[in-house]
Amino acid sequence: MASAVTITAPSVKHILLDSLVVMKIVKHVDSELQAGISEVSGDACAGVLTGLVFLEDSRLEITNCFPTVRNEPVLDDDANAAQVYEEQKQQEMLDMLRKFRTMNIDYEIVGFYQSHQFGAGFTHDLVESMFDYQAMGPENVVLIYDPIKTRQGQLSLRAWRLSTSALDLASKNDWSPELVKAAGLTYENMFEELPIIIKSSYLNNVLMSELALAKSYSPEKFSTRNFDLGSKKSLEKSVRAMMGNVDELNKSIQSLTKYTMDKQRHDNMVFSMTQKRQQENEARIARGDPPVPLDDIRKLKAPQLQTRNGLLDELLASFDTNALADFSKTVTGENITKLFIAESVADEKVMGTKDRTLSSVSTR
Amino acid sequence: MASNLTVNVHPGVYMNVVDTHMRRSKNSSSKGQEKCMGTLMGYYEKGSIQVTNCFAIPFNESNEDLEIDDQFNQQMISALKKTSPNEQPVGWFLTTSDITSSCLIYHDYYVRVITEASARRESPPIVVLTIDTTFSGDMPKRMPVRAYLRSKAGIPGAAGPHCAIFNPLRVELATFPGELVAMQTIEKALDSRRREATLESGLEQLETSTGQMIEWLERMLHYVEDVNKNGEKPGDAQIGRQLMDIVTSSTNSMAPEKLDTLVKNTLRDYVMVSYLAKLTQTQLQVHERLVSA
Repeated sequence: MASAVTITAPSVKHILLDSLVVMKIVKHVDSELQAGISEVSGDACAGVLTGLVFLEDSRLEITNCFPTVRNEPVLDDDANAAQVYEEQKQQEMLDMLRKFRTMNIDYEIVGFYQSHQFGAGFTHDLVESMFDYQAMGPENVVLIYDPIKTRQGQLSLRAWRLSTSALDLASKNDWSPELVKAAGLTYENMFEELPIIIKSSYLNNVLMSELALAKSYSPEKFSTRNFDLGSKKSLEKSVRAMMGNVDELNKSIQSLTKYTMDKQRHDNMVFSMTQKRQQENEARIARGDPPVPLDDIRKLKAPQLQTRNGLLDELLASFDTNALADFSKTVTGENITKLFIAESVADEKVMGTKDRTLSSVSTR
Repeated sequence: MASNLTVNVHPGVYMNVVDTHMRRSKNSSSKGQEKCMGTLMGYYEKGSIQVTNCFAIPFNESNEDLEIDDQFNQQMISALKKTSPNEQPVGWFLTTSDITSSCLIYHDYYVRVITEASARRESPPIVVLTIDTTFSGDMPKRMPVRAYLRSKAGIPGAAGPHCAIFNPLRVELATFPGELVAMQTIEKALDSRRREATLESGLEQLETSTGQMIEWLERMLHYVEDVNKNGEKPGDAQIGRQLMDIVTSSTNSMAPEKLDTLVKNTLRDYVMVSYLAKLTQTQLQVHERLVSA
C-alpha cells in the first residue's frame, strides 16, 4: 500500500444506478447460489462496476458491471504464484475494459460490488480493497448486495465508501489507538452510506412493459412473497452471526483495556526511572563524573496492542454487528406487522382473549 | 427435429440487448448501424435451452461485406467461462424485425464457433433470438421477441438440402427468485416521470402490497355481486371453483386456534429478537462514546 497517495475528499452525494447493473448483479449472485458454488469456496461473489462521474451534479452513474473470477486456493510452494495470479487478474480486468470500450460501454472503473449475507461482511480484506479502489479514484464506492433479504421480497443494495479520516489511517496502515482517537474515528463515521436511485431508460421501460405481458411472468409476479412469514431460519442465522461478532468484539475490547493499563504502567515506570536518573546525574555532576545517559531507558520497549491491526478489528466488528442488527430489526418489525395484519383478517368474534402474555409454548 | 424446445430467457439478457442497442455506434457509412448482434450464453436442459447471459460483438453490415470480429467473440467467451464455468455459448441474437439472408451466413459462423466450444460430439441446437427494437415490424408499439432454430430443408429425393428454414420456438421468461424481485423494483420506474425508482423500505412495500390485495378483493366482490344480481353477468364455473378454493383454504389455515397459537408464539420471538438487536446497537454506541472520550 503506497503511503504517498494523495487523498482527495469525494464530492459525490448520491448514486444513479442503471437497472441493467441491478439485473446483472442479481443474476451473477443468484446463479452462483443456485449452482452451490458459494458453499464450496468461502469467497464472496464480486465484480467490478463501470460508469461515469458527474462532478457538477455530485452524482455517480453506474452503467455497467462485470463479474471477477473467484479467488482460487493458491498453492504455497510457489512464492511467485501469488504475484503471477494477481497480474493475471489485472490483465483480465483490463481486457474486459478494453472490450467495453469497443462496444461503446463506459469503461471507467467506479467501484466494485460484493455479495454478503444479511448485508454484513466488513472484513479487513474489504477495507483494503476499498482503499485500493478509492486511491484509484476518490469517488469509487462499494455496492453490498444482500441475497437473503432480496429473496424475502425486498431488493437490498447499499453503497458504502470509506470516509476521509478512515482513508487517512488506511493509507498509513496504522490503526493504533492513539491515531484513531486523534482522528476521532468511530465505527459510525468510518463508512459513509450513499443513497441509491435506480434509473431505467425509455427503451428499458418498453421492455419491462413487454415482459409484464409475458404469459409465464404474471402468475409469479403476483406472488405474495412479501407476506411470507417463514423467515425464522434466516433470523436464526443472523442472530448467530451477531453472536460471533460480539465475541470478537469482546476479545478486542479486552486487549484494548489490557493495552491501556500496560501503557499506563509503562509510562509511570519510565517517568520514575527518568527521575531517578536525573537525580543520579546531578549527584554525579556534583562529584565530577560523567553523567549516565538516559538512552537505555528510552530503549525500553513500549507495550504494543496485541491485535494485528490495532483498533481496526474492533471498528469492523462493531460495524458488522450494526449491519446485522439493522437487518434483524427491520425483518422483525415487518414480521410483527404481518402478524397484526393476519390477525385483523381473521374473524374477531372467534378470537380468544387478547392476552399476549399467555403463551401456549410449554415451559421447561 | 427438436422444435418442441422452449427457450427460457432470463431478464438480464433482454436488458443487455436493449442496452447494447442504445449504444450502437454510427458507422462511417451514410446509413447508421441499425442492428446489433451478439452471442448468447447459457446451458442446455432436457426440453429447454436456458439463456442466462449475453454480450454484443462488433460487426459490420455495410454494402456487400459482412464482417464479424471473431477474436473478440472468442476472447469474451473464454473470459466469461472463467467467471461462470457452467455457461456455454448456445446461440446468438440480432435486434431486427425479420430474418434475412445475411442471417444464414451469421448462423453458419456461429455453428462453427459453438461446435468448437461445445464438448459434445454432435452439434447442439443453436438458437437465434430476435428482439425487434425498431418498432417497424408488423406490430408497432410492441417489441416482440422471437426465437428460431435452423434446419435444413429441401425437396426429398434431391441431392442435398436446398435451403434452410428457421423454425420458430417458444420463448418464455425464466427467473431466479432474486431476479423476480429485482424486476418488480425496476418496474416501479415505469410510473415515475424521470424513470427512476428508489429502493423502498419494507414497511412501504407492505403498504403497497396490502393496497393491491384490497383492490383485488374489491374487484372480486364486485364480480360476485354482479353475478348474484339475477345473472347480470354470466357466472363462470372456473372462477367460482377458484373462489371456493380460496375460501376453504383461508378457513383451514386461518382457523382461530391455529392463528392464535401462531400469533402468540411468534410474536414473542420477534419482539425478543428486535429488543436484542436494538440493545446491541445501543451498546455499540455507548461503547464508542466511552472509548473515544
